[in-house]
Amino acid sequence: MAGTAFLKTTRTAGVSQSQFLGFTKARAIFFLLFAALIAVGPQFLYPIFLIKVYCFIIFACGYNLLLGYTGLMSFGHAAFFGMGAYLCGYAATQWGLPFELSVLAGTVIAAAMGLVFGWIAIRRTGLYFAMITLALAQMVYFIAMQAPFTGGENGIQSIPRGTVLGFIDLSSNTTLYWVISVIVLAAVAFYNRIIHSPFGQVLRAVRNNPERAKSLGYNVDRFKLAAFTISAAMAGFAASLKTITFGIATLTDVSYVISTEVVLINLVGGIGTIFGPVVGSFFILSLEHFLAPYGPWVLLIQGIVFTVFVLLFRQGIVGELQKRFRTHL
Amino acid sequence: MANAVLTVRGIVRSFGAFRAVDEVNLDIIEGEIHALIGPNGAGKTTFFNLLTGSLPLTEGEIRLRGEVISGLPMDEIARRGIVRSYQISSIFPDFTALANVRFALQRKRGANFDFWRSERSLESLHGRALELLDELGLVEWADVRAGDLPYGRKRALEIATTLALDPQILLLDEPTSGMGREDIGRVVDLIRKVSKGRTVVMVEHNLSVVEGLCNNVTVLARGRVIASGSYKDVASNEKVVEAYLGAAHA
Ligand SMILES: Nc1ncnc2c1ncn2[C@@H]1O[C@H](COP(=O)(O)OP(=O)(O)O)[C@@H](O)[C@H]1O
Ligand SMILES: [Mg+2]
Repeated sequence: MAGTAFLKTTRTAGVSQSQFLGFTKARAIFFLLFAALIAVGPQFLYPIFLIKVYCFIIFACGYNLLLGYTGLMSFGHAAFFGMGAYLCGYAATQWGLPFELSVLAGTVIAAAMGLVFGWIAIRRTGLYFAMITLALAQMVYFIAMQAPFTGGENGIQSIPRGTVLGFIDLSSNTTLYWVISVIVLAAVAFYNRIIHSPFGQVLRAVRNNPERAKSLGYNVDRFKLAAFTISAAMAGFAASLKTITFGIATLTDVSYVISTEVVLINLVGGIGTIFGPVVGSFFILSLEHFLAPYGPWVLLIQGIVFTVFVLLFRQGIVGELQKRFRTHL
Repeated sequence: MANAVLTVRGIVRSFGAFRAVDEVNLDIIEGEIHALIGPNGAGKTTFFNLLTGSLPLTEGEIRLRGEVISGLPMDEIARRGIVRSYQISSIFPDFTALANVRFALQRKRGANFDFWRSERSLESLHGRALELLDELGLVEWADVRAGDLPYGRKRALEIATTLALDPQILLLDEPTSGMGREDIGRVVDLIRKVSKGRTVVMVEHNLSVVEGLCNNVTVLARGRVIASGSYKDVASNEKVVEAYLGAAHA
């Protein structure tokens, strides 16, 4: 038996061999395709639009960590996204903080809010969890509307882009594009790493069978809270980058539309997949971008897309690709 | 009792007006294999739910080596060494059989919040995981998705996962139900083997298994203990015979 056991060990280990940046082979190929797309993207599309897509990819990765891998559905991520945007903007304009520290401020405030909101919400599951997150986010929206530091209807404007490390000037769109490109690639690799870490293993188990995870001695609520906090931090980080890029933080960033958009992105891309957030962000934001001239028609098209995916392709585009190619992406 | 590892005093669990577990007192002796038997609906699984903190008590108290554990969260009780398997197999269906067992080993290893580390750091647990799978005749199934295993294999996998935690007190809820004769023999041998140095409480319907394996037997009916003692004492007890016949006639 020992002989068989040995063979099995090597075989099982073999499954995860030949990795690149922590990606399995199929995912490494997908990742390189994404990198190639980033490289040629500006030749075909407006770089600021692409940067927006990349910011939403980071946001959606954090969200998928929660929905796809931990099994928690939040309707309140706009709170983290919006407050991250505001604080980053505030730090850059009022405190005069450099790029790195402004982004850090936006990330930290979102993480802190995530910790508090998560602590309140994880006492419930399913629809109740979603409703608590929605209610808390609506309260944050109200505060954002009333509080002086957000600039009310005007928002925070003229946020300077500053420099990276004190010498890479971000005022040029091209420079900014390459900086954000590096960040989004690192973020996707980081997201993949979290999911394929000992911690990620626990999250997947929690989603699979929370009762059994508890009965094996895992403090399930703490793992959920940690996932929620990381997810909120990624929302704040993404929002900070977007704020720096566009130079404004407004009520739109904190409104429920943001919360539903990130759900839609993951639904279309593929819940519980590594590259779902990438594909979903490109898809949904392109739809918005190219249909923008038609005004409210965007909403109609979005509604149709949502319905089609829920009814026909519940695993999203990447989920369908996985089935087609019998691999994990 | 001096060498009781678990002491259960006056525990009650009500569901509305119905008392599923009703004033149960029980001592589990260190190192014994203790059987819990009784007709369906007697409250055996509920009793396990109370021991593991999966359900809160309505009344009473449970102590582990003198320390009160009733009221503690379920995961804390598990970390103190009381681990169970479920009557309805509780596995991680999307994980392979190997990953199921590894997940239990991972908890003992710790460092589970390490989100920056590769999961390949868990591969050092594969050797032990395969040993456990081997003990339950599951090596050939190591790479199979647990949700796709046949019924009996799922039960075996759950036992392997439970054993991976090396618990002081092992609670097994109908470990052999739905298994073929050969697998039952395997599980019985395994329980005997792993019972060295630990305490086992098992719910078991197969009375020949109980007779061959267990030092003490407690009989529950309608949430109450109606008899307790060696298999022989209990088997000849009138109340027990009546409870079983009563249930059969009902
Ligand atoms: N969560 C629950 N809610 C209501 N009734 C329950 C619950 N769990 C168990 N019961 C009832 O308690 C009684 C004992 O159930 P159980 O402990 O599963 O019995 P056993 O394991 O001995 O067959 C049954 O009548 C069952 O219907
Ligand atoms: Mg039962």
